[in-house]
Amino acid sequence: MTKRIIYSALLALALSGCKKSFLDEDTSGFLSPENSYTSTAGFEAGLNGLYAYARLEFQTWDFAGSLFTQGATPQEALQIGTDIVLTKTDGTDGSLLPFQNYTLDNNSSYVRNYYKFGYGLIANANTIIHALDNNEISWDDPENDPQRVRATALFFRAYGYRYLINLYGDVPWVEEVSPEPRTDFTRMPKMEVMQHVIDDLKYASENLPDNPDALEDGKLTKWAALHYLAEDYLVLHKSDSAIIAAKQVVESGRYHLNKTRFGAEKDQDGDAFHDMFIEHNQNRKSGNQETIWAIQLEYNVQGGGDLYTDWSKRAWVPFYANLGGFTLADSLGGRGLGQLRPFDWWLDSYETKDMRNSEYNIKRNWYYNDPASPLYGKKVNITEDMKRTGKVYPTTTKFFYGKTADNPAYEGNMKDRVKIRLAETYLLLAEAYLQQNNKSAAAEAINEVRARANASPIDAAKVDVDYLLDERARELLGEEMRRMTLSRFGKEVFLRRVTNLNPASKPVVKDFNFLWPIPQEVIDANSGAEFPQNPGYN
Amino acid sequence: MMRQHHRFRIGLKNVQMNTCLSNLTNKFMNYKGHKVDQPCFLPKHYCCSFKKIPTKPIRIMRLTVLFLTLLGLQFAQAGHAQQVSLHVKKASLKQVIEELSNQSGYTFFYDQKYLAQANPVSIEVNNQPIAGVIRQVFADQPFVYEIVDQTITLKPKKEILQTNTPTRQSVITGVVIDATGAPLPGVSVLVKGAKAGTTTDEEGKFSLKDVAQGTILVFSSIGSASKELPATTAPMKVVLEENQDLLDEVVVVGYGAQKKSDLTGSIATVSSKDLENVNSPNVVDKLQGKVAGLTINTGNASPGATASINVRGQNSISASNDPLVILDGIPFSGSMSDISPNTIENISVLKDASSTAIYGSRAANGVILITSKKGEAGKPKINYNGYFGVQNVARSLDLMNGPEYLQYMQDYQNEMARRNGTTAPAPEDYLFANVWEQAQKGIEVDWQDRIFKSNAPIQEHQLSFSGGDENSTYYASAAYLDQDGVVKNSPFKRYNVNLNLNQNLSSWLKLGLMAQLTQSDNNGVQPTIDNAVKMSPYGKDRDENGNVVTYPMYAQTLYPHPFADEQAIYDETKRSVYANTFLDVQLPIDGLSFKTTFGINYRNTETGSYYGSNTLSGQGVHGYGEVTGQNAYDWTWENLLTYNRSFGDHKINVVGLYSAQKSRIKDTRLYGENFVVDNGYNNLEAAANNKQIESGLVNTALLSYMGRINYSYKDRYLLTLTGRSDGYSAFSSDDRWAFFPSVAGAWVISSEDFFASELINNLKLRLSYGKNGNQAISAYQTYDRFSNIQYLFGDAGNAVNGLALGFDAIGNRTLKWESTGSFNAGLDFGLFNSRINGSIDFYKTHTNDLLMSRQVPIMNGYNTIVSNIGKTKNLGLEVNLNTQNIIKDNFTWNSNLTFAYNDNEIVELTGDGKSNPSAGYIIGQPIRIFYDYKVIGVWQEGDDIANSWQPDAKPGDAKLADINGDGTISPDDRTVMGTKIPKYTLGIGNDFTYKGFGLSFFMNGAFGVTKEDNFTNVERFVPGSGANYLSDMDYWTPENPSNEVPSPAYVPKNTHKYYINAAFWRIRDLTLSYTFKGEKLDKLHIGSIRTYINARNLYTFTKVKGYNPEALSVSDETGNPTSTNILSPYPVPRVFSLGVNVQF
Repeated sequence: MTKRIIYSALLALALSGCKKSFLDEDTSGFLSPENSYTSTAGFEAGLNGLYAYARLEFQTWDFAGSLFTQGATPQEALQIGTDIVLTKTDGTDGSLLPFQNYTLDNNSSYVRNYYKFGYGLIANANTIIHALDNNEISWDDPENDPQRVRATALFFRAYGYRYLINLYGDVPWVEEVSPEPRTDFTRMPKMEVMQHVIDDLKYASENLPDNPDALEDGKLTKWAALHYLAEDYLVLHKSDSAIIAAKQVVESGRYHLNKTRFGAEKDQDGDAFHDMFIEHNQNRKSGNQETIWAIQLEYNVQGGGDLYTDWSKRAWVPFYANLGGFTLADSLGGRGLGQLRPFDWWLDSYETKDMRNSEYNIKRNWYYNDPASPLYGKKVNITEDMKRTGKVYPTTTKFFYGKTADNPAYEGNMKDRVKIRLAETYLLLAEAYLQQNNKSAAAEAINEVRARANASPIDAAKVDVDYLLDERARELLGEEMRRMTLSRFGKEVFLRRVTNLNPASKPVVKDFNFLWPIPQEVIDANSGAEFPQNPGYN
Repeated sequence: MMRQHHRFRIGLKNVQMNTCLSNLTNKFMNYKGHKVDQPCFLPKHYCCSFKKIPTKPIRIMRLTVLFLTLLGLQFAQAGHAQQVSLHVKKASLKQVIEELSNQSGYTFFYDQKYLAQANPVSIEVNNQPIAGVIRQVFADQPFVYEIVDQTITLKPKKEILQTNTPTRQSVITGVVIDATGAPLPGVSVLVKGAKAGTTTDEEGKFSLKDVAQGTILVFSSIGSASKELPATTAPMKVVLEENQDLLDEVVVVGYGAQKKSDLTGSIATVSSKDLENVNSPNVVDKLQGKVAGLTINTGNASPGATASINVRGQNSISASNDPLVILDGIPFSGSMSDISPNTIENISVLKDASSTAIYGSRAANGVILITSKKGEAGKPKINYNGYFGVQNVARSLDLMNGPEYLQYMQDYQNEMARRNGTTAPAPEDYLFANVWEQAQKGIEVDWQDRIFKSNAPIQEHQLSFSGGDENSTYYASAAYLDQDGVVKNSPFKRYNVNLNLNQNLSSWLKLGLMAQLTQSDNNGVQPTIDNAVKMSPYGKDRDENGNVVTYPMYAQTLYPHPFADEQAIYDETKRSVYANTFLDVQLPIDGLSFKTTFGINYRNTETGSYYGSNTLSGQGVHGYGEVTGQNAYDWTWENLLTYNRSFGDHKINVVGLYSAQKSRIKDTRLYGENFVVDNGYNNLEAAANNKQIESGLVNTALLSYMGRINYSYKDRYLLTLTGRSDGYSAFSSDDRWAFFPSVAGAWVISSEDFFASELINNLKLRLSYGKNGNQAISAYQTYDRFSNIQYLFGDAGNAVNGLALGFDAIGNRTLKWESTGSFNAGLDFGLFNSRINGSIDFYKTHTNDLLMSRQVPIMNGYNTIVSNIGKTKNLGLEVNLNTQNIIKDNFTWNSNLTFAYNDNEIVELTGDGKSNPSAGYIIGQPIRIFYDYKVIGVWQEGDDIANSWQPDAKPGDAKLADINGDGTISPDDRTVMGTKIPKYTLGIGNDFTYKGFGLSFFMNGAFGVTKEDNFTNVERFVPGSGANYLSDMDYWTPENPSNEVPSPAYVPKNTHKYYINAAFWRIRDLTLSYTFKGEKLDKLHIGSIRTYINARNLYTFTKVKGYNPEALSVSDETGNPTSTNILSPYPVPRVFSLGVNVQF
C-alpha cells in the first residue's frame, strides 16, 4: 500500500508539472529593445550606443565590448589611392596595399567592413526610430525628448548612408530592422537615397539642440546636421540649399575659427592651428571654438576607447624607430610604422608663412635622438630610401601621439577625433559657390580659412575645383576621409586627381575604381533579388 | 545473493546460454555431421558436447548439467530478481523451477534424471524473497542446492562422485580468477570424461573430492574461454581469460540494457578493456578509431583539450553537431576531459534513429552513454593503475636557418623590386635592425626549440577500492593526472574522486548514488607558437638579464617575442560535481517497476590573470588583472516506469518516461587596469583605471515524455517502437514542443529453422527508421539582444553605457526544432563459430528545418540570424569486424577493424534553391567544404600572360583555374576544394598474447579530408615583415621556376588560399605488457601485476607538414569547424610511457 502511495504521488507530481511556467525563460541576463526603449533613460542609452557605434569606424580589433572588428587602420583605406598619400609597399598592414594598387576586390576586408559599419549603424538608428512608435513610453520631458531622440537617430542614419553612398554608389534604402530577414534588397539609385538622407538631416537640423555650450562635449547639435546637409545638397548639386545650410552654421555665432592660442599647451611654443591637434584640445571646454562635432576618445579611461581604437598614429607617424640613431620619443610622435607618406605636391603647396606649414604642423626636419648613437643631435639627411621604407620623411604632426613611458609600442591616437569643424563648413560653402560658378564668393569663403592660417588670400580667378581640393588637403589632410570628398566631386575629378597627383596609383587606377566593389557576401546572401556588382569588379 | 557489479557478467552468461539453447532448440537439429572436434569457441560442455541432436524443442536434456534460462531481459530487471510469487499445489518441481526462473531471472543447473525423483511441490507465497522461496521449495526434496550469483545448481543429496578407480585419490582445491585477478564465481569445474564436477563459490574457490592427481579438469564459464588443466594436490590457481566472443554481450542502451542479440538499432560498445590499450588521460582519445561512425578529430592537441566528436558525420550546418553524452543515465554537460578514463566500465554509442529516439531532443547527433564502474559483492578489491611517460613534439617544422632566411629575404626584395621596376635595396636597408645585427654576428635562434619542451613528463595514478555484500556495494576511486605540455607553460593537472554506492533497502526497494568530483588546473601563459614559427632566426631572444626582447626583430608589431607575456599570470581552475541518485521500486504487479533518478551537473570555472607592466600585453596600461567565474548548474529528474514480461514465446518490455531538466549558467567578470605594483589578480579593487564589471545568466529548460515498446517473438522477430515528446525553452513559445517517433525491427535469420549454415553461426538483419531532434542553439535566440558598449562624453567624467545591436543580435520569433529522419539497415554476423564477428550498417538521414545561423544580407542590419531553414542529407556505411585469428593455449591473436564512410550534402538552404558561396554553403555539396579558386600552377616567364585569363598576373603569381571558361577570373570560378570533415575513417587494432605477454597495436586514419595549406601561401608568412619560412618549400624565383609554390612577392588574387589533402594514417598506440601472477604474489596478497610500455603517436603518414595534420579549430558553442590552421596548432605529442596495474 505504501508503495502504491509513494508511486502515485511521484507520478502525479511528475505529470502535473506546469509546462508553460517550466519552459519560460529567465531573460534577466540581457537587455532587449522591448524592455529598454520604454523610457527616456532607455533611449538615452540607445543614443549613447549610436555615438559609440559611430566610433567603431576606428575600431581595429576586438576588445571587450566592441561589436565587430574592422582590421588595422580601416579609415586609412579612405586616404590611400587618392591624391594625398602614398603607402609603402612593405611593412604596411597588408590589407591597405590593394587600395593603392587598385587590386581591391569584393572580399577585401575594409570593403566588407565599411559596408557592415554603415548598415550596422543604420540598423541601430532604425531600431530606435521604430521604438518611438510605442505609445507607452515614459518620457522625462514629453515635449522635447521624443524629438531629440528621433533627431539624433536620424542624424546617425544619415551618417551611415554618407559612407555607403560615397563608397559604394547605389545602395538599398532601409528604414526598419525586420526580424524576418529579407533577401530581396535592390540597389536604389544614389540620388534617390540622397533624398531620404536629406529628409533625415532636415529633421535632425530642426530638432537637435542649438546651443553647444549647454551640452556635454561630443553631443550633436543642429549645426552638425546642417553641415552634413550642406554636403549632401552639394552631391545633388542643389547649391542654393547647400549655401543656405552652410551659411546657417557659419553665421550661427556658435562657432569661430581658432585664431588665437588655446588649450593645454597654449603657453608653449606653437600656433593656433597646432593647438587643435594636441590631446584634450578638441572639445569646446578646452577653448576650441571651431569643433562642431568630435568623436570622443580618451586615453586609458573607461568609455574612452581601448588599446585597439584608432591606430591612425601607427599609419601616419614615420617608422623612425627602426632607423639607427633614433629612439622612441613622444615629441617625435611616438611609435609609428610610417605607412602613409603625404605626396610632395602637398608639402610644396604651402606658402612659407602659412601657419599650417609651420614646424609645429609639418615636421620636415628630423634629428637623431638616441644619445647612445654617434649620430645623436645630427640632422637626418633624408634619403629616397628612408622615404620609401617609411623610416623618415616630412609629414603632418596631426597624428603625433606618444605614450612611450607607458608603452613604447602604443598604437593608438586617443585624441578626440574631430569629424566636423567650422573650417570645413567654410570650404563647403566655397564648394557651393563654385557649383554656381560664383568664384568670388567661393574665394571669400576659402580666404576665411586661409586668413586664420596666415596664408595669402586667393584671387577669385584662381579658384577652381582643383584649387579647392588642394586647399582642403592643406587644411584637412588626414582629418577628412579623402575618398569621400573626391566621391562628392564626381568620377571625373576623382580620376583626374589620382592620375595627376598619385604616381603609385596612376598606372593602375581605372574609372570604375571611383566606387568600391559591393562585398561578395552581400551579393551571395541577397539571393531573392538581383544585386548587381559595381561595374569593373568581378 | 545479488552482486551488483556482476550484473553484466550475469547477463552475459544468461545470454550465451540463451543463444545456446535457442541454437539447440531450433538449429542444432539441422547440424548435420556436427562433431565434437569441430572448432567451437563456446565453452564446450554447453554447446559442443552434444552428440545427439534432439528432434523437437528440448525440455529435458541429457546433460551433466542442464540449464534453463529465463527468456526475458534479465539484465534489465536485476531489480526485480529478488522477489517472487508462487501459488501451486502439487506441481512438478520442473514446473516450479521454470516458474521461478521466469519470475526471477535465476538460472537452474541440474541433471534431468534427478527430476524424476523430485517430490511434488505445494507453496503459497506472495512477493517473497527468492532465497526464502527456494528454501521452501527444496525443503522436501532429495536435493541440495547452491546459489551462486543468479545461478542455482541442484545436486542430489549424498551424491557420490563416480569416477574411474584412480590409483590415488585426494581432495583437489583451488581458486579460479580472471585475467585481472578477480575471483570468478560460478565457474564449472568438471572432470574430463566423467560426470563429476562442481562450481566455484563466490570467492572463486572450488573443492573436488576423490579426484586423482593428474586427472584433467575442465574449467569453463560463460564469458570466458574454457581451460583444461591436470589436477594437482597443491591448491590450484586457474586463470580464465575473458572470452573474446562479443556476439552476445550485454549492451547498455538508453533507459536500460539489452543483450546484443536483441538489439534492433545500431549501437556500438567499447569496454574498459578496449580503452585500456590506449594510454591517454582523455577518454575521447581512447575512443578514436574504436567505433565505426564515431569521428574523433584531435584538432587541438594541448593538454586538457578535448577532441571534437561526431557520430555519423554532421547533419546541422550551424547548430551543434556534438553528440549527447549521458553519464550513468544523466545528461552530462561537462567536458569529456573531466572524466578519469579508468573509472569507466563501458561506453555505448547509439547511432541510428531507433536507438537514439528515446533521447529524441538532442539525439540527432548520436548519443554516447558512459557507464561508470560499480562495486561488486565479495572480497574488497584494491586496484592501482599508474604510469609515467615522456612527451615530445612528434613532428616539428623544417624552418629556414639564418643563411637560408637571408636568401629568402633577398629573393623577396628582388622580386618586389622587379615588380615595382626598382632595384632591390641592400640587406641592411630592408632587414630589421636586430636582424641585421644578429646576422652580422651570425647568432641564430632556433625558436621552435625555445618554445617546445623536450621530454615533457606526464603521470597518472588511480587507486580504487570496491566491494560489498549482497545488499550493498561500493566503488571508490581517486585519480591524479599531472601532464606537462610539449609547449612550455601549458601544464594540465586533474584530480578525480569517484564514488558509487548501491543499497538494497528491501526486497522491493533499491537505491544508489553515483558521484564524480573533479578538479582540473590549467595554469601558465603559453608562448605564441605562431610567432615562434615566423620569427626570424636572427631575432634577438633574451638580454643579458634573461629578459625577453619584446620585439626580437625590433619594434615590429606583427611579431612580438613568443614569450612576450612570459611574466604574466594565468590560472584556470575547473571544478565539477556530477552526481546522481536513484530509487528503484519493484511495484506489486508482476514485471512492473519504477525508477526515479535525480542528477546534478555542477561546474565551476575560475580564471585569474594578471598581465603586469613587465609583459607586452600589460605594459601599456600599467598592468591589468582579470578574474572570471562561471557557475553552471543543471539538474535532471528522470522518472521511468518499466514493464517487463514474457508470455511463452512473446516477450514484451515497455518503458515510459517523464523527464525534466533545467540548466543555468552564471558568468561574472571583473577587470581593472593600472596597478601600483604588479601584485597579481587578487586585489583588483586597487586598479586605478578602466574597472569593468560583467555578469550574465543563461538558462534553459527541457521537458520530455517518452514511451518505448520492445517486443520479441521467439527471440528472432524483434520490434521496437519509440515515441518522445520534447519541449524546449529556447524555441518560440508557439513551437516549443515536438514529437519524435521511431520504429525498428530485427530478424535473427540464423535462428530460423530453415537456416542451416556451418559457416554462418549468427546472422541478423536490422532495419530502423525514426525522427530525432536537434535543439542545439544558444538560449534567447528568439529575442533581440543588446550588447553594452561604453562611451564617454567630454574629457573628464564618467563613462556612460550604450546599447547596441550586434550583427547576430536579432531574434527569430519562430524558431523551432530541427528534425532528422534517418533510415538504418544493419547486418550482424558471426562466422566460423564466431571466430569472425561483425556488423555492417548502412544509413541515410535527412535533416529538415535546420537550425542554421543563416547568412543574410547585411542591409537587414544583421548578417546572421538563427533560423529553421535548409535541408541536408547524410549517407554512410559502417563496418565493424572482430576476428580471432589464432587461439592457442599460450598464444592468441585478435584483430578488430572499424571503417566508416560518410558523405553529406546540402539539399536546400534558404528555400530559393540558391547557394551561399561566400559562406561556403553550396547546394549539392557537403556541409563543410572549402569553396575557393583552384590553383593550377605558377605563371612562368615566357607564358603569354597578357592574353591569358589572368592578364594582370606576373611571373611567379599563382595560376588560377578559369573554371567557367569565360576568359577571366571572377567569383564564378570558385569551386569545391575539398571537405573539412573526413569522408572515410579507418581503425585497425591487433592484440597478441603469449603467456603473460600482451602486445597490442592500434592504427587509425582519416581520408577524404582537406585542410587549408597555409604553407604554400607564402604571403601568410608575411615576408615583407621579415617573417621566416619553411626551408623545404620550393618557392618560385626567376632562377627557380617552380610550379608548386608562387613567388614570395605574390599577393593572392581575391585572397584565394591553397589546399592540401590532409589524409593521414597514424600508428597510434603500441603497448607491450606483461602480467605477473602466481604464488609469490599471493603471499603478498597481490592478485596480479600488469606492467606495460606504451608508445603513442609513434608515426604519422601524411602529406601535411607540421605539428598536427588533424588541426582544426572548432566553435566553443557548437563544436563546428571554424578554421583548419595547420601552420601553428598545438603539436601532437609522441608519448612513451611505462605503467603498472596492481590488483590486491
